[in-house]
Amino acid sequence: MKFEKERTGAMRKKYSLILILITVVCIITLAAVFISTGLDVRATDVKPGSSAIIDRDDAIEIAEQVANWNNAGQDKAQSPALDGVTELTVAQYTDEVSELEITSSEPLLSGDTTDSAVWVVSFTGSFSPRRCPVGTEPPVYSIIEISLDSRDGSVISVRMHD
Amino acid sequence: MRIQKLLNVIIIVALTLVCMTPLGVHAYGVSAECYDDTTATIHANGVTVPGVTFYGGTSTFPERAYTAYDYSTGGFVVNSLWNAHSDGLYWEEIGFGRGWHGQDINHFYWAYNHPVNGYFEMKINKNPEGVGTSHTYSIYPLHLEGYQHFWYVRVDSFNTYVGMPDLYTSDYLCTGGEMTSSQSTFSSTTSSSLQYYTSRNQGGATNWPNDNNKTFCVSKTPLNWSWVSYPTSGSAWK
Repeated sequence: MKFEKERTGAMRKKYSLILILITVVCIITLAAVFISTGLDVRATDVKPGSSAIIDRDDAIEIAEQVANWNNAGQDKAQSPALDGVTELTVAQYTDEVSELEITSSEPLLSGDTTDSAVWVVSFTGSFSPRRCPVGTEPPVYSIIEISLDSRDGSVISVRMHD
Repeated sequence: MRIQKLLNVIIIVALTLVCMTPLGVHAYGVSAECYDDTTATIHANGVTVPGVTFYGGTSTFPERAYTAYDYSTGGFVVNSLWNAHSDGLYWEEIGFGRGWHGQDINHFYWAYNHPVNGYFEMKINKNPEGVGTSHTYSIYPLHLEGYQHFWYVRVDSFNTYVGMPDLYTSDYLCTGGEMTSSQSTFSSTTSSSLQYYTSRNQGGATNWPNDNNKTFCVSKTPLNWSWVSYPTSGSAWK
């Protein structure tokens, strides 16, 4: 009986020591990760498609990620620079050709409507579409404009131009 | 005693998971590398027919179960219809895919490039209907007297259009796949039809002269496609 109690006590001590060791290792690992990747961890707070209402700073954060994914510069020093932020109350695209401003030099678009506020965040840098037809080389543009649904931060559209 | 042991094991597992979580999350936000596996191939149809000018074209293919391994860094897998012009500066595309700017979702999208207006891509406000559901995609010019030329980009009854002031013909038509990670899965990109139009407003739909599957591969930076097997009728573009 006495032996059994001593054995149990020893086991408890052993497990306690293991637990303490694991806890210490975890704390050190967590601290190291958060210190070394502080900004990136912050970036995970806001993801496209999340359910939170997206404020201005969140919109910039998400758009910056999208801009980086389309960064044509291989040198990370060429990270995009914030060019401007606009909030549209409603994005409305007409379905009728006749309603468009035909002489506009802007892209003429149609077929989609959203009743949500839209953040439009633009960056300057070097950007290239990741999509292109077979056999073509993607063009490079100096400005990227990313439109985000303010309800969830999802990307509505991406435009690149000079 | 056994309960104590069990509790200890549970605590150890829980703590280990807590430690692993931030390491996993850290992958988000890392910039993406383009697909660079030249041994892999993707099916495609079409490209050019010498001496033939197109007025766009149409193709039908189903929604398929794709996975986009690199969706969290903006990667995607798409099955698309492309219509382009031989200078490589003008093109329109529309298709179905997985992975949309950080979201792991099935979606329809369209895009175009114009040398002056630039590049534009947009998710279409149309819900996917499930794997196996076929859709017809079309790209064709519409000319209204007194106005500039428009290109309609259409999937089923959804259509949108883009102004291409100086062009209403094309000489490149292709349907196939595009992906940004060799670790994504892409079961097939074949289409059940490919037709080109010989006049405006979807006129004179003509079957592609050799509608069999072709294969191509892609390398990165800049994103380049090259044909592994050339069409036996027509020619590979570029």
